[in-house]
Amino acid sequence: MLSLYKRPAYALLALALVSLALIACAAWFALKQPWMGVQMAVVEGKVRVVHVEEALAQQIPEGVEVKRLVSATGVSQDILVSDLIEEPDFFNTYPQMAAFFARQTTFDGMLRDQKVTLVWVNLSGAEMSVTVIPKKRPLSSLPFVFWFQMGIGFIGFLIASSIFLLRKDDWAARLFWLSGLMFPIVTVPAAIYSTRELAMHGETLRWLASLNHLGAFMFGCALIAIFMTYPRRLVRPIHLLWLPAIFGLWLAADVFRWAPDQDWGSRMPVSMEMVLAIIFSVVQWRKTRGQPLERAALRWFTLSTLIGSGLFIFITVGSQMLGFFDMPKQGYAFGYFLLIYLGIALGLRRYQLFDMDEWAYRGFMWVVGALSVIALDALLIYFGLTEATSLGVSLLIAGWLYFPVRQWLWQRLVNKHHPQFETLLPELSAIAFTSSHSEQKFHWEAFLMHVFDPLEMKQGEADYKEAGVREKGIALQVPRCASLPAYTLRYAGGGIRLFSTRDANLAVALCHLMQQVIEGRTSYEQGVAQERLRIGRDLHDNIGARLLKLIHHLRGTTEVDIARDAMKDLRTSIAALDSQPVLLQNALADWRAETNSRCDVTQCQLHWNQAEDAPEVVLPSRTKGMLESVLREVITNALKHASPKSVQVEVEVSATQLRIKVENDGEFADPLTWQDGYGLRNIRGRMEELGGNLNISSDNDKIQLTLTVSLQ
Amino acid sequence: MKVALILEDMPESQELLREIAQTAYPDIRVRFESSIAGALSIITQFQFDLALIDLSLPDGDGVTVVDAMASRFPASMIVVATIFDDDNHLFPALRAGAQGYLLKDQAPEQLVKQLRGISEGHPPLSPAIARRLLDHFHVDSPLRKAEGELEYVQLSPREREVLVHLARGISIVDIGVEIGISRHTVGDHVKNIYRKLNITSRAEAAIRAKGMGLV
Repeated sequence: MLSLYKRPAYALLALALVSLALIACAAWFALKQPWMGVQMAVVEGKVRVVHVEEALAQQIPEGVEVKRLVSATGVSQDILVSDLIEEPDFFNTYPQMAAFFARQTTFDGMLRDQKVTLVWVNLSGAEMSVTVIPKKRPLSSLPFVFWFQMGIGFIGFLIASSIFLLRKDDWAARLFWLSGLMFPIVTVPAAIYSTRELAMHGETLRWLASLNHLGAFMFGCALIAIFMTYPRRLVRPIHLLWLPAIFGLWLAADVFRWAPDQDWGSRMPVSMEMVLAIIFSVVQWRKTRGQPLERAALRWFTLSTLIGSGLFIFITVGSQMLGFFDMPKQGYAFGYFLLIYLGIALGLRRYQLFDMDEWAYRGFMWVVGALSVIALDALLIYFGLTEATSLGVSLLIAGWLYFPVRQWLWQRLVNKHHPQFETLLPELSAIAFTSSHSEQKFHWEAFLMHVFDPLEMKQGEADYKEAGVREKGIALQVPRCASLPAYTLRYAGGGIRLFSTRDANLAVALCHLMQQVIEGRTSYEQGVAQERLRIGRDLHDNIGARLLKLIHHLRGTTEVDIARDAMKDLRTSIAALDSQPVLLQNALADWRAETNSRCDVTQCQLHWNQAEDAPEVVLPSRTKGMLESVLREVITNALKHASPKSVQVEVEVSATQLRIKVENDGEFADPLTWQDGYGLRNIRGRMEELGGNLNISSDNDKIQLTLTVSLQ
Repeated sequence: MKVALILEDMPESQELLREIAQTAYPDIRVRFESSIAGALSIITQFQFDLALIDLSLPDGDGVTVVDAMASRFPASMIVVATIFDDDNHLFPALRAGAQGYLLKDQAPEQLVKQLRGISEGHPPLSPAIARRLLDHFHVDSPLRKAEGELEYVQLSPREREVLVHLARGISIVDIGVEIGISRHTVGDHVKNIYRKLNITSRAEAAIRAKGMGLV
């Protein structure tokens, strides 16, 4: 691992040193060009002096117009606006260019003499002249834009190299390196000729310009080739050679001036290359449908192109149309290129692809924000506002619109995959309150599916405690959560997007929330259980003891049975507090035993009829308790009032209903004449509460009370 | 039956239990204790043939005394007198060596009858406790498996049958009718079940003691 890392690192260091050496060479070459110490520029359509070296400052003031250069031998050549042009490509035709190069050669010859005379015009319009001795150009006279272009060129080269060194076998990386190699070939010649003081030899300038074209043509070829092979290989690598073959010929036509003009010779092929690169990137976009990782890689390119071109428009329009600031030198335009280039590099490197959505959003909003201010400003000026007012007004309007639009886009672009938290919360607490573990797990899995919509979900693949994005955004690790296992989700949003850091954060938040709800629920349940225990103990210790005392005191009276029933009810209530559901069969067994022992005491025969194979029904403990009290009351009534010889209990259970029929003989009045006493009222009340009913009927010598309860 | 210990903190209940004990065994002498501490100390000084022990006492759980009595006087009759007959209350006492239980809110005549029944080997067994016993003796229960090498007592098929019937709430008399044996035989089975329950707990206690390095 270490050696693998080290070797590319050393190679990169070596390349950086070579780059520095090349920069030094380029600077040395730039300093070899003739120099007067008088810097000229085009101001208001005229060639004027903008900066003078100290030694000459007394003889020629800054700001004056310059007319011509006269050599020691008397040759004179006017200094034209076109002579100061930074880039020969500004000329449309080759004859124009040839004339420019010839004039440059003439100036170069003059400036390489012992001395030269510069003719200028003073404020009153009189021609003045100053004798200048051309000398060695000092390093400090190289402007910042020179170093900027140097820097851009070699930074681009080193970026490409760093990716290539890590992935030498990858065709995309190889082609990218090739494009990186072209970067300095484009920028270094441009840096040299665009920062010349007045002139350099025409032939030298021409070859430098050709070198610049070579770099631009081949850079374009490499760019097309990249998108022909990355992320998907669209053609066999051998076919990529067609690109340099075609554009190499075209370049020759440009360099040797076979083409009719610059439009045909260089502008068209270079634009065509850019268009082809974009076309192939669109083809790639379509080919990578359902491949979130590769798409995100392409998105880096889209994003950087957007920012790069957005910036270009902002600067150009901002300076030329609206006059916010001066138009920067064309050398700076390479900066936009570097930006786009950086995007491709990040895409190739697959850097932070999973957070692309957010990056894209930020970049996009940044460009949109800046451009909308400019557009509004232009519009307001067009409608007659002054520049000073219009900028303020457009900032205000853009600000008003910007934030709602920003928010809306955030929801659409970045947040669309994230369900609203407030809708998740009830779902989450429902999971936490699910009683069984397996059910809880099932619902949690469904919940994760709902939130992230992954194509694949595996349990316990790795037992990370932390959530995180893995496999460059293909996978999301959901940590263990309370008693729920860890999960690994793959292919977010049905495979159309990558997991992002936001997803990981959401997973963490959901997990924490879930844990808290579960903990809350557990402690609530513990509290309930403790409270039940306390109530049970209080009932047992206080009421039970008092009732027992009462039973002792009432011994021998008829009321003692009421107290005894109360004691039994108390037992039932305490048992019901236990809150464990009871099997109906067990409940029936308890009731049967109690009835049995009570009938025993009064010497009455109990016939308990109950099907052996009753369905397995579970009664909530409260229902069991209430039915128990009701049945107890019914038996008490029968034993107390009728003094029966026999009591018959018929139990019928179906899946939906429980019916208990208590029938006894003995002495009883017609039920129609019964006054509802406390006991009967109590029975009716409880049956009502259970949603059941009580039915009383009698035939000649028997009375029947039927309790019916639904079991659903 | 010569001497009875009545462990009970409520005076009325003390009186009731004395009455029951003396009705069942007219010549019996009675010693009252109203706390666990008192009971534990008195049994080191005197021997008791019968003990009626309340489970909820001001200074603790009566099961402690049941346990101490059972190991000290294996031949004595230990009966729990309580107002709660659920398995949670009674099962620990039965495992500790109680041979039966009385519900103090019942009519005294009935209690006398039940006490005599216990001494004759027909202790009551509520369905809830019978169910718990079935679980306890269930060969395949996880609890059993966990105890692994522990030597425990299995129920005979007949005892099992009786227990199943008891768990369904069927009275001893009706069980006799149903499976065609006399009510006394049913009672004997119940008595054996009690005994085995207690033996099991002894065996477990011995193994635990061994495990703790006490033996």
